[in-house]
Amino acid sequence: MSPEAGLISFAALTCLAAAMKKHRTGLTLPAQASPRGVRILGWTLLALAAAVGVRQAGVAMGLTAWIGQLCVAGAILVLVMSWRPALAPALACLALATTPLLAGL
Amino acid sequence: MTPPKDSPAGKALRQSMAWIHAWLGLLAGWILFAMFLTGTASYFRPEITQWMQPELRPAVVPPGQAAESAIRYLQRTSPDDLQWFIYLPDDRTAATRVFARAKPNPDAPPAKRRPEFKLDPATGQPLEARDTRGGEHFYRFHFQLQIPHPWGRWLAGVCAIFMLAAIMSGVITHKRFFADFFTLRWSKGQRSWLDAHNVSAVLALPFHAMITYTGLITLVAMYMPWPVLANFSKPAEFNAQAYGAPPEGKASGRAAPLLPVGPMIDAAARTWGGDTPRTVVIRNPNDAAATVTVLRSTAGRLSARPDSITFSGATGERLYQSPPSGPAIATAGVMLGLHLGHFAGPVMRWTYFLLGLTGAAMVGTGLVLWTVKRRKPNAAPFFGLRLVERLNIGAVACLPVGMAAFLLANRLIPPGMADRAKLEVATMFWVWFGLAALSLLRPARRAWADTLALAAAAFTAIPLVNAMTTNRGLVPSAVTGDWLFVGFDAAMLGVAALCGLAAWRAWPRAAVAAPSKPRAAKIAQPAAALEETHVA
Repeated sequence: MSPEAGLISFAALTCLAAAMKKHRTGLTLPAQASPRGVRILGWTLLALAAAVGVRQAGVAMGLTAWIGQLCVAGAILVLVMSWRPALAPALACLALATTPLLAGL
Repeated sequence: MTPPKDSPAGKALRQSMAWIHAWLGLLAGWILFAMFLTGTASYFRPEITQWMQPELRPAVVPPGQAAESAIRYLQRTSPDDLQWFIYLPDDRTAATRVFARAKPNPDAPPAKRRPEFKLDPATGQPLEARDTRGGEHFYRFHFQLQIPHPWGRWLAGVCAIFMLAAIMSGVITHKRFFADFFTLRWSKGQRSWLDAHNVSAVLALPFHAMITYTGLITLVAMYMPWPVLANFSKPAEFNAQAYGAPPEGKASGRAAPLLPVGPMIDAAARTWGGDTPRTVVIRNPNDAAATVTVLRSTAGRLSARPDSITFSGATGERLYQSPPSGPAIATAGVMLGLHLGHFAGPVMRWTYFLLGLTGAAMVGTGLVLWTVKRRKPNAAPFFGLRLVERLNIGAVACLPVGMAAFLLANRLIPPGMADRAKLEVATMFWVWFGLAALSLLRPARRAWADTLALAAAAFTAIPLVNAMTTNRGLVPSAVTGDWLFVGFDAAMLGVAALCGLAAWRAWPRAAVAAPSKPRAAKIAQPAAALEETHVA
């Protein structure tokens, strides 16, 4: 089982946090990203992460891996946001960027 | 979701749930913290065992060859046994483990259970290594708590029930479940502890709920034996009906040579879509009624219940194949599998490990929160508060030192010493409880900082002592590409860093600490909490 589901989940949760008023100021986002836009993007990425997990490892293993990695991604995101909030969107982009690389290997 | 305006009834419910949550959590918290931490370590049970026997580096061979070499050895040493159990090596265990049961002698009292031993998979020769409990110690402690059977398992079960109730009451109590989903604020006293407790609980809630419930279910037949007792005259009958019963025939008395097991293992692997067998059980070897039962590895599948195929040892005929599980047995197998995590590859194993640490952080921050909430500024702490504070230090900060001492003892106790495995285990408890007692000499605030700093030092010492006492230190292992040993040492340094950061945050400072860089909330960090009052 590989970590792609978790990496996409990290980006998804970052989007969902950015959609919340209290975290919006801390996370530097492109000016045109509306709360609604990032929320939709976040849920879409979350579904994508689940789909990637299922595609890689089947329904049972894929969903187990997705939920587990989602939880770890959330814990890491909260630690990052409480330390250097501006770092979170950058890490989210990095996580998304590495996903196809890993999948390609 | 914004929190709804509380109706009086809702408020009363929340308050009563908060009360239950605080007291259930406190009463079971110290044991739960130890269960979480040792259970988390147990996800690496085979790796810890390998690390604790550094003199073993057997060659990797296919399972069929390992089984054949083990059988050659057993044919030489004890050909007339009742049963041979052969646990084949895999990518996580390097040696073949063998356990043989002698035929019962009706004229003599039952013989003592023979010890299990390790064989070189390539040659079948016994492997000599230092005697140790290895990762098995953390695993057993995790649910038996080093208390005589059955009381340890009962106590662990009671704590797990408390945990389950604490999870449910905690979710009901938590007013801002979604509003505070990502919120963690540092250096704000009680606020910070509540945040840390909330996020470690909420973000990993699926894991916490799963691990607690499946942990209880694992031992459910012990905790609730009555359904089986009411319907079956013997537990064995229940097992046979639920799980299927491979033939357990008596020896015929007619000698017949045991066929090679390699082809049987290959045949089983073909049936299982290429999955390798994990265990081979041979009953009545060298008899016409001999049977060879092959159990499937559970790696890569959620259910921890292994399929099995039984062959005749004399003719090679396939006698029995375990039936496909029904829904109830499959559910039980998956629950056990989810708890044990044997299905997990490296990524999922580390995921489980981090989630386990999150669980320990949840329990640890909850324990500290209990004291922080009840401490009044400018008032001497009452007896109960001081007691809880001391027990918190003993459980949260001293246990990691004890665990590190167990690993250090493995390297420092001479390999040939008698009873050294027991001595290693004793070291963990003497250091753990001894340090908890010693920390009473210091003011609570200092005791937190000192014990956490000691934990950091002890975990840092592990790779150093390993490098000094074996030839498998961090550098040589990295050079030879021995990633298990590299990973183990690196993990110890990582844990040391976390303990060090916790100690640094807990260090008593003259003034209120300046807002500093936030830290991982892995282990309790009492600095913020203890800023308000100095407990002397």
